[in-house]
Amino acid sequence: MLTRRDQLKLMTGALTLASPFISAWTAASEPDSSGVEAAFNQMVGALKSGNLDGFYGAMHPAFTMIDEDSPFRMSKAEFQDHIGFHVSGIWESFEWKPLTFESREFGSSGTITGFATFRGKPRDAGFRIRHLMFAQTWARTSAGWELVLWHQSPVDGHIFGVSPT
Amino acid sequence: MSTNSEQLEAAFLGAFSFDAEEGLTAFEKFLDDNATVIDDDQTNILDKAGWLDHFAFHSAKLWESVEIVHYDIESQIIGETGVVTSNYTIRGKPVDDGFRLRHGVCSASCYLSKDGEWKAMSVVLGPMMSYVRNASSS
Repeated sequence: MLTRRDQLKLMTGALTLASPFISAWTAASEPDSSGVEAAFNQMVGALKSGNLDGFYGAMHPAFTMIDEDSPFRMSKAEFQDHIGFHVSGIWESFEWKPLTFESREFGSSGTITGFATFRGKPRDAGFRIRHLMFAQTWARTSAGWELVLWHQSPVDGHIFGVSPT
Repeated sequence: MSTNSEQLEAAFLGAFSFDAEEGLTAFEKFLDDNATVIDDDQTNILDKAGWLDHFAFHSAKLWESVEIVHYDIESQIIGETGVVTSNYTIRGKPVDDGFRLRHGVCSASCYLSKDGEWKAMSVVLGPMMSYVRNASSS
């Protein structure tokens, strides 16, 4: 039985192996202030600064969340309720930190895929770190780029039980 | 033009039939050439060529049966952007080995092409166990 420490060591190794390939993607992307990547960065900045109105404002009313904390898909209202459960003054620090990612646009559709880390410290408990792969779907509407789908998948699930024997 | 949810979901399900036509699987045609795949077997994000290589590794007559079954399919269309999500089970039996079952949550990010076909920008197969084990870990 692997301990939590063993699992984290394995995950760190996997990310290290993957990083040269992903870094090359990131270096090739070019900033575009009106593009989907700018909308993504704005949303990430809103979350980081605790601007939840700005964070939720990036999401289309028909938004779907597949959160790393739940096996059930969430609507926008359900995701807001889940975040509300988490942020009601019980964290000393909390951050969703994208590591490497790539943006692509297909007409009025856009996607961001990459790696991210959740890191934070609840009051009266130890640090929490969780590594993820993620994919987002964005749609350009009359309101600008709006987030339609956010799918997060913890990296450990892509290591343990792979092609099980 | 394929603009309703039924057609979007049909394109999604058709892709996972893995039927081959003129050497191309339905999934290969569903993926845009610049698409990415987060596969449940991989710790890196695959481009189309990388995913096809992984698929070829798995499909080289080493299975007595294998399929991906989708449940509880939901979809949304905003303009020319479509998303499909589902719960899924990969189930199969390799030659000379026991049954394999793996459950997860799937999503496909799609756009409507000029030909009126739904094409995938990205597909994610996320193993269910990782949404349960260590959730908001203490």
